[in-house]
Amino acid sequence: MEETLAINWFRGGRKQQEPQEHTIDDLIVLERYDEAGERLRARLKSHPADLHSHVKLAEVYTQLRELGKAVDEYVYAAEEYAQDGFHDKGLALISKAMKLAPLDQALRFKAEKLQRAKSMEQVRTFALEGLQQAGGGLQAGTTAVELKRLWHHLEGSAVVRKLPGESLKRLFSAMELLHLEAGVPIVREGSPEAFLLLIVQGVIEASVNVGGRATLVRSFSAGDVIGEGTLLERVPWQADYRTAEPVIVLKLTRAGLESCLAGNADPRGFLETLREQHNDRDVAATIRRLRGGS
Amino acid sequence: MAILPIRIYPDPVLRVKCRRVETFDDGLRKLAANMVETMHAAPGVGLAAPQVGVDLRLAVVDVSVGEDPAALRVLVNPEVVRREGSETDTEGCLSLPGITDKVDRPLAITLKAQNLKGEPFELDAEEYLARAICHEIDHLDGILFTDHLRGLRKERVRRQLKKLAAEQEVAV
Repeated sequence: MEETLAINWFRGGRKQQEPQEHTIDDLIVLERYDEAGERLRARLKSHPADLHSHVKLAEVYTQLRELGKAVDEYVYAAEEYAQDGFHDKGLALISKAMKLAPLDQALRFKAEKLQRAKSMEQVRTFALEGLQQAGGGLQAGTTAVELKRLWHHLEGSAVVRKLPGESLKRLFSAMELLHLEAGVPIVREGSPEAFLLLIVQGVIEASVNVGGRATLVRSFSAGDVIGEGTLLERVPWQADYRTAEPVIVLKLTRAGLESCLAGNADPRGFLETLREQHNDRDVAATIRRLRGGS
Repeated sequence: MAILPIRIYPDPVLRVKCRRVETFDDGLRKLAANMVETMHAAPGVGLAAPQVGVDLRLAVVDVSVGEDPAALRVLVNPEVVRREGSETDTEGCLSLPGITDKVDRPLAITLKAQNLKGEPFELDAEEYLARAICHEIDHLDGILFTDHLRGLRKERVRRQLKKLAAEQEVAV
């Protein structure tokens, strides 16, 4: 009697009840993969950016042994997730695709590419923290957008590419962010002033007096390091340096260098990366050639 | 009063979006009384009408499981109008026997509902009561707590649901 009441209520309600439908998840649980696939494809037609549905469809295709389609769905979702910064999720999905197509070299390359992007993202996070501190002294108002812009200029730099994220954060934290106008002298030839500059934006020119004339030796732009010889090897500056246009630089002094090294897990690797830049040495070699020939 | 059979996953009635209650008669009161008895007998802290096969927006909640008569709430056409905070805790469901998992729910809610006479009222609920009410309201929209799970939890629960569905098939 009581159950009849419930059933009557349920089936014989005053309004026509909506058709009862299992969810897509239910259909997967119930192993009704064809129906689940159909529903997912319909959903993706109206919501093409729904990555959850792409992944579910990949799972459904896997169950239906349509492996090529499953791989396509996994790869699509993986790349979209990675593009949004969810590298781990992207890698996990690529790894699922690789299990379905273990001989597919393209998937291996995609996985490597995602791994590289993930590492770079970690470096970026550390670097931005460091840049924030570098800008904090002089530019208390350095905004997140400005920091990202600075990072955009720096991310191609050899120093940035080689240093691990933690070291990069240490380096940037110990540096001072400077904005210089065009035509500003930075240092004179022969000066023992010990500092290193990492150019964030703009151009700095190195020139020397050859035969009574100022001769341009070399121009440096975003990502280049100058002064590593002076700071690390105590060699005097080999040329006159001045800004050729408005410039943003990160400056590292000896005190800053010491703070970078204190507690650094790999001080030797850190110094080696800075030393490897060789820009001061290249400038000195060019000057020797210029002056030797005059 | 009677104990009603509880619908178990994958019964499609659990996926129905329930209709608003428009008639507040003896039938409704009887159904609510039966649901309370069913909930206490289970035992459970909440039961929604679709769990006993009825597609109406009616739920009963009693976090004291019959210990405290004042704790019993009968909610007709309930609607959450304010949510505050978030808390993760373990939930189970009478329609998903043996399955429990952690679910995020609001820490506090304000609810608008009607009683069995159709009189509107507001209710502020926190913590466990808020969780139980949100769980039951989900049922009225055809949502199970497992639908809130993601990632590895979802994978795990999918296996459990598969097992449950197979058991139900055997039972039928």
